[in-house]
Order: sequence, then C-alpha cells, then structure tokens
Amino acid sequence: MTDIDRPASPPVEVADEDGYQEAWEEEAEWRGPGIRRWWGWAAFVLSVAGFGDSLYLTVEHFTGSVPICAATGIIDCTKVTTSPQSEVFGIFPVSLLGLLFFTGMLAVNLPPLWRRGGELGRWLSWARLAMVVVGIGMVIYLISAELFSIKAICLWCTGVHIVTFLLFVLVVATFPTMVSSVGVEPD
Amino acid sequence: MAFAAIVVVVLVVAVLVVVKVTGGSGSGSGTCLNGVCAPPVTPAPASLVSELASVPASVEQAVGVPSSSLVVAPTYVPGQQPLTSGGKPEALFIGAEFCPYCAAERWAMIVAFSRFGTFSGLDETTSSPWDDPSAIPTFTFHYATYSSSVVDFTMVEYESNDTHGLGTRHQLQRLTTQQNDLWSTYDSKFGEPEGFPFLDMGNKVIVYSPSYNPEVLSGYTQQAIAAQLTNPKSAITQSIVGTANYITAGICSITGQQPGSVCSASAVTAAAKAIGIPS
Repeated sequence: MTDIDRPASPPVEVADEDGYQEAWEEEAEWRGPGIRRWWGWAAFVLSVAGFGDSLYLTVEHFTGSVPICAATGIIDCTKVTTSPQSEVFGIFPVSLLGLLFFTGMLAVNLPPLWRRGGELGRWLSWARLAMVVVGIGMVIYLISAELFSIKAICLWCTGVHIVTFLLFVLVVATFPTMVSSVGVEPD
Repeated sequence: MAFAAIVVVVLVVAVLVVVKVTGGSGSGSGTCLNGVCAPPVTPAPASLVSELASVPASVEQAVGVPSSSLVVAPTYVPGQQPLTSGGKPEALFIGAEFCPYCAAERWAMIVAFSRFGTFSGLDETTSSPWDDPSAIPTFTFHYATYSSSVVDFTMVEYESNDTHGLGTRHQLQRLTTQQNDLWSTYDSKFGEPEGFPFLDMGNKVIVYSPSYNPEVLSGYTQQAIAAQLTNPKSAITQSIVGTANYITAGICSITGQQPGSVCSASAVTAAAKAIGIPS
C-alpha cells in the first residue's frame, strides 16, 4: 500500500499497525503536489481585503458617519449604507455580518491551513466551501436589494461583493482537488 | 461541476443587471385599497424643476413676508455649534413621503435652495392619499441630489409613502447618529418630539413644524402649481414663495450672506428681520 492509497481516516490507526505513528502523523499534516501554493496565498490576500473593507463599513456604521464615496447617479454609498436593507431585522448591521464572515474566512484561509491534510484539511475544505456558498448567496441578495429596493450602488459594498465572488471562484474551482488530495507528503 | 456553479452565479448577477437596465427601475403606481391607489413616483420634468428654480424676482419681492396667518416663520436658534459638511455650512431636511406637511414644505425648499444651487434626480409624487389632508402634490428627495458652492443640503426621506392604506409606510432612509441627535435635540426643544417636517439650517434657523397649510395645494397638479408662481396674489404663490423667502433668509445666515445677489434682495432681508436674525 502506497502513501496515496493509504486511507486518510483514521491515519493514526494505520500508522500504529506499522509502528511508524509519529512519522505518519507528520506526513498526514500536508497535502500533495496537486495543491498549488498560490491558492492559499490568494485566498488569504482576498480575505484580508474583504476584512479591511468590511471593517471600514462597520466602523462607519457605528460611528454614524458616511463612507468616502462619490454620489453621482446610481452610485451613492450613503443611500445604501443608511437604507433599511443595511440592517438585518432592523438591528444587526449587514456590514458587521460581513466583518464576521471575513474574520472566519481569514481564519480558514491562513496559507499553512490550505496545505493542511488529514481530517482537518478535509474539514477545512468543506468549511471554506460552505462559507463561500453562503457568502455568494448573500452577495446576490444584496445586489438585488441595491438594484431594486435601494436603487443605488455602494462602491465599498461592491468591493466586498467582488472579493467574495473571487473567493467563491477560487474555493469552488479548487475544491475537488483539495478533497481528493489528502494525506500525502509535501512537495 | 465547479465551473457550472461559477457560471450559474455569473448568470444570476447578469440577469439582475439586465432586468434593472431594461425596465426594472420604474416605480409606478402601487397597490390600491377601496379604489384609492398608492401614488406613482415619476421623474419630475426638467421644465417643472426649471420653473421652480426661476421664480421671477418681481414675484419674490411682491410676496415678501406674508401674513403670519398664512405662513409661519422658522425659529432662530442663536449660540449653537454650527452644522457643517465638507467645509461648507450644511442644511438638513428630515421628512417622509407620506407626510402632507412635508409635501407642502418641499415646494418652498426647492424654490429656496434653487437660489443657491441645483437639484437633480427629483421625482414627483403626492403625499399619502389615505392621510388628511390627502394626496398633496409634491416631490420626493429620496433619489435627489443637490449641489451648491456655498451650502450643503442633506435630504433624508425617513419614511416611505403609504402603500395600501393609512399607516402602511416603512422606513425609507436611515438617519446617521448625528442626524438623529439633531432631530431629537431640536424638535424636543420646541415641544414636538421628532416631527415632520424638520429643516435645520446650520443649527441656526430651524423649521420644526409646518410652515403653511398644505390644503392650499389640494386638487392641483404639479404643473398647475408651478404655473401659479408667476402670480404674487395667488394663495399658492404667497404660501410657497413666502416660505421660500424665510428659508432663503435662513440659508443666507449660514453662508455669510452669499451669494450677495440672493441675500441682499429686499424680500430676503425682510424675512431675516421677521425671523429675528441679527443683521
């Protein structure tokens, strides 16, 4: 049985049989050569960008100030960030939801975690997928609210939408490789 | 599979944009109740906005300061922290689309502020057809913008129009903390907590109650009202232009009497004197 054929779960039990528990645990921490190192870094950079944008919008919300943004035609950040749709149930700011989302994305997108294998790596892959699916669903709702209810576009919010979409593309496109490449030696 | 998911997301967003661009932007007549329908909101014709921005100076002077039984003067509030925005003095309006008194006040505000700058994106509509007085012809500031070199004008339509009967309105625009504080501070100060309309000119001159009776506008179209504004003897003109003269005096008090051509007009100086603004 090669390392790649070796069942990913539970790796510790397999290692026990061979008497190489310590060595196998270390190998199982990392994914194989199918994983590109830049994926993790791209996800991390996007998460930082989304976190910064959301943090700015959240601070603006709680300080009662308005974002630095043009107000020409359909572009009007103030109209969007002060609209009823900017709060869930009238009390919970959407910007804070975004901040919590990107805090979570930052945590699961730390570059070393992208190359993490074993059960933890598999769990992280599924967590990223679930998060970006929820995130892109929220983005679609917010875009429709901007276009049809508020009738204005907020550039800062659009920045968050673009970052979320890019994360969605990255995570969805790499997901099959991520879940099928578990428990092999680092390249 | 992954590619399909991405394509689906792109298609959904594209459909939203296409629907918006090809006709999703209209906000026509709403629902009806017992034969009474929520008013449509349509772009105000440029000619109408232009008429309001060019009320003849002779009419402004002839109306001057109307009788207090017709128009109530705003209140001078000395010694407050000036309200500014982007280095310019700021005026803040808080109103609601359903509100008949706001409906009347907007006519005068558009006439007055057009003397200092330019509105764009004004829509015409009426106040709530279920309120009393009902269906006062007016505009909404919800999608409007205002530009001026001497004053910043922030317009907040706090609540929507009624949609299917009296009281069926919802919050339209959220107030910033500062706006909410100003509203509660100054409206409470005069014994009427957070009422409509509220117009704060630089924390110096404040409209905190209706300036004139909206019923004077009942039954007219926007075009018919604008057409009256060349006749200084009309009750409509005296109400709208008289209120506009007061508001103009309030704005002049925070712009350092700029522009001189507007602020030195005898009707404006008379209005300032009637308000009690020191010269």
